[in-house]
Amino acid sequence: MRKSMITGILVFVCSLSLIFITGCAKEQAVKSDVGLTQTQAQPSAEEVAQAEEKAALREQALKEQALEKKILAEAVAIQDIHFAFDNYDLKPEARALLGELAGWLLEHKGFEATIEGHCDNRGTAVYNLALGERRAEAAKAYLANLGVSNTRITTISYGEEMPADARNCEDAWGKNRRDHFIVFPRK
Amino acid sequence: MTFLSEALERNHGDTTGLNSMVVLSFLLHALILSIVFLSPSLPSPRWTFGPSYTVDWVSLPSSSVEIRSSEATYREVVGLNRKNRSIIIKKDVAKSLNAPVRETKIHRKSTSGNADTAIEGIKKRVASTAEGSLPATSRGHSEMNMKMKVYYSVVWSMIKEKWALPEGILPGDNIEAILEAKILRNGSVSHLSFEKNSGNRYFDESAIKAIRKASPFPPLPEWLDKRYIDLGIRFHSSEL
Amino acid sequence: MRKITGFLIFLLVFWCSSAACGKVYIDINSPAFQKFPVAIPEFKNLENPGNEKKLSTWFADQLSHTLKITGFFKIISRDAFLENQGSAGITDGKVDFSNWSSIGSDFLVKGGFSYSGKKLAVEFRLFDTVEGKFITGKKYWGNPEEKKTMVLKFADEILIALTGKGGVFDTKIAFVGRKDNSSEIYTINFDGSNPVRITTCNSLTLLPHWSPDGSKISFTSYKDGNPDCYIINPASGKTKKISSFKGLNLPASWSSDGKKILLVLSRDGNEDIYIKHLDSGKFQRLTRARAIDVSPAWSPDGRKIAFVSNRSGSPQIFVMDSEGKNIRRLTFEGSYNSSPCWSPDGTRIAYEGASNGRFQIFSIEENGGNLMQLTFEAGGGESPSWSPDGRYLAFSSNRNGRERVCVINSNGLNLRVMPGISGVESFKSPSWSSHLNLY
Repeated sequence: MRKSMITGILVFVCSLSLIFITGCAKEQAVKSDVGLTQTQAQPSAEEVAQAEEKAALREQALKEQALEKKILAEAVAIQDIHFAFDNYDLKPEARALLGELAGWLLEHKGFEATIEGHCDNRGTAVYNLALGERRAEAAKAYLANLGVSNTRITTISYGEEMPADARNCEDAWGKNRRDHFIVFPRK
Repeated sequence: MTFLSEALERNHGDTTGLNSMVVLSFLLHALILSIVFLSPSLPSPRWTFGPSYTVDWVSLPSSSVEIRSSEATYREVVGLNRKNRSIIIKKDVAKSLNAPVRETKIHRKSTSGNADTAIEGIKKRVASTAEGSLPATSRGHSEMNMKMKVYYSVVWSMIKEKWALPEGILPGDNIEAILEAKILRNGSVSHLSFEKNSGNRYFDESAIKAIRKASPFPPLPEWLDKRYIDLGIRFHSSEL
Repeated sequence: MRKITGFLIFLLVFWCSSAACGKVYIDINSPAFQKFPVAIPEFKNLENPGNEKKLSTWFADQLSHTLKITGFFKIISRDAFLENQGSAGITDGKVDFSNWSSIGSDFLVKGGFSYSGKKLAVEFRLFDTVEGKFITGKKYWGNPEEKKTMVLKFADEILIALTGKGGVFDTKIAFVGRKDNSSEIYTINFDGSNPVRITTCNSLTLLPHWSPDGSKISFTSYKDGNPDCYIINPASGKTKKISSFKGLNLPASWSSDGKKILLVLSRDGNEDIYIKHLDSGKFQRLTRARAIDVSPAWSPDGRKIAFVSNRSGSPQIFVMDSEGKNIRRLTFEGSYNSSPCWSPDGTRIAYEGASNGRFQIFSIEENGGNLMQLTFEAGGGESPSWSPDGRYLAFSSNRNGRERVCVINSNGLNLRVMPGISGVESFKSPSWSSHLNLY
C-alpha cells in the first residue's frame, strides 16, 4: 500500500512538474529568442515571486503618478497674479490667490513651486529684470508669511522677455505684468 | 593916443613869438576839429546786417529774413523794377495836394534816378541804426560810408549764402576767423588772406570756400573813385 | 618849434588819410548746415579704358555709399556731371575744376585701377574744386577680393582730410537677435555688412557688452536655468561663466583697462551694483540702498559711474564715484530715465527717457546741463551706445512693428536702419565696439 502511495505521489509530482516545466518552458520559449532551446533553466519560485513584486511596485508607481498628475492639474489651475505698472505690490485678488496656493502647498508637502516674475515691454530690459524679480520675491515672501517654507519656493525673473501677450496695447501690457506659478513634485 | 601908442610899443618886441603862437593855435584847432569830425569813423565800423534786420521778426529764422531784406537792397542797387517806381509816383500825386513843403521836396528828389532813389530810401531806413549820430559837417564821409554800406550788405548776403559746413564738425565753443579780401573794380577778389585764424582748420577752410564760391561780387559802385577796396570779413561759429 | 609844428602837421595829415581809407569789416554769424557735396565719377581703367565697366562703376558706387553713410557727405548724382567720364583725366593737371564747381560739387574724387599680374592696383585722388587744388591721394595694391577694403581705407583718408577724424568703418556693433523664445548675440559691421552669430545658447541671451580691446563680449544667458553672466571670445568661441549667483547676474560696462567689469547682482535679495575684478575673481559691492540699482556705466576715465535707481520714486539716472560714494541725481526731466551710456570724451551721457508714451534717446551734459532730445521717432529709441569717436549712437527702435538696430549721428541727424538678418525677428540692445583694426 505504502509503495503504491509513494509511487503515486512521485508520479503526480513528476507529472505536475513536467506540466509545470513544459508550461513554463513554453512560456520561456515564447518570451525568449527563437534560438534558445528548451534546455534553459526554469525560473524558480523565488524569481517568480520577485517578478510579481516588481510588477506590483510598477503598478503602484503608475497609480501614484496618475494621482500626482491629478493633483498637479488642480494646482496648475492656479492663475497668474497681476501687477500695476512699475509696481510690485500685491493686489487683494493676488493675496487671495496666494492664500489658496499656500493652503494647497501646506497640504501637499511633497511639492515645490517656482515663481516667475514678468513685466510688460515698456522700460528697459535690465530694469524690468529687476522689477520681475521683485514681483516674484513679493509673492514668495507672502507665501512664507503664511507658513510655506522658503526652501520650497524658487524665484526667477524673465523681465520683459517672455510676454504672455506680444501685442503693444494696454490690454496686453496688463496681462504681461504678472507672476506665473509652476508647481512640481519634489525630487 | 598916448595910451594906444604905448600899448603898441610894448608889444613890438614879441612879433616873432606871436607868429609862432598863431601857427600853433591854428594847428591845434585843426587837430581838435578833425578829431571831432573824423573820430566816429575811425574805429573800424562794424556792419552787422543780420541782427538789425531780424529785430521785428522774432519767430522767423534769422537767415531767411536777412537774405530777403538784402535781396531787396541788392535789387535796389542794381535796378528798380517798374512796380516800385509806379508806387512812388502814385504817392507823389496823392501827397502833393496837402503835403507840407518838406515832404514834396523829398518825393521830387526820388523820381530823379533809380540808384539815387534807392539810396535815399535806404539811407532813411538805415539812419536809425547807424552807429552814433554824425554831425552835419561830416556829411561827406558818412554819405560815402552809407552808400558803401549797401554794397557791403550785398557782399555779406552773398558770402552768407555760400557758407556751409556739415553738422558735427564744429567745436562747441564760439570761434572766430578773420579774412581780408581785396575786391577789384570788376568785383573779383584779387587777394584773400587770413588776418586771424580760428584755430580750427576746417572752420578756416569753410570760410575761404564761402568767399571763393560767393565771388565774383558785383562791380564796385561807379561813384567810388578807387581801384579796389579792402574788406575784412569776420566769421563767427555761433550767433553773437 | 619847427619840429613841433611839423609833427602836428604830420598828425593832421595822418588823421585825414586814415579817415578817408578806414578799413571796413563785416560780420557773418553761424554757418548754414550742409553736408560736403562730393562728386565721384566712375573709376578709370588705366590700362584698357572702356574695359571692365562693371568694376569702374563698382568703385564709384561703393565709395559713394561708404561716404554717404557717414552722414557728412552729399553725393552729387552722376547724371549732373558735365564731363565725359571715360575720357577725362584723373590727375590734377588734367582736371577741369570748373566742370565740377559749377554743378555745386565742392569736392571731387577721381580714381583709376590697373592689374599687375594677379594683383589689383587702385589709385584715389581727392580734389577741392572751389580752390582748384589737390587735397590727398593714395594708391593701394592687393588681391581683387580686397577691393572693398581699399575703398574703406580711402574713405577714412577723406574723412581725416576734411573733418580731422577718421571713420568708424573698422568697428562692429553687437546686439541681441531673437526668434520665438530664444535669442543669441550677433555682431555686424558699421556699414551693415557681415552679420555673424556669436553665441549658441539656445535660450534667452541678453545684454552684450564689448570689452575695450574688442576681444571679448560679456552677456547674460538663461541656458543653465538662471540668468548667469558669461564672457565669450568671438574669435575662438570660448565661453566662460563669470557670475552665477542666485537671482540676477547682469553684465554692464567694462573698465577701460579691461580688468574689471560692472555687474548687477541680486544675490542677497536686493538688486545692487558690484565690480568684479577679473584677475582675482573678487566682488566689490558699490550700492546698498533698498532701491533697485541697475544699468551701471563707467565714465571713460574710470572715476565715475552712472546708473539707474528708483530710490527717488521712479527710475532716474544718478552718478556716483567709482567707490560708490558721492551719489548725485542727474536727470530731473521726465518720469522714467534709463540706460545711461557715457560719450567717449566723457562730456555727455546718452540715455533713454520716457516721452509721450514711448522712450526716446536723449543726451545730457555730465554736469546735468544742455539736455537734448535726439530721436523723435514714432517707434521710439532705446538702449543707446556711442561709437568710439563719439560721432554716432546706435540704439534700438520699433520700425513697422519690429525692433531694429539703428544708427544716428550724435546730433540726431541721418538715421539709418541696420539691415535685417534671416532667421531673426527682432534686434535689441546694441553695443558698439572700439576700433578693431580689421584692415
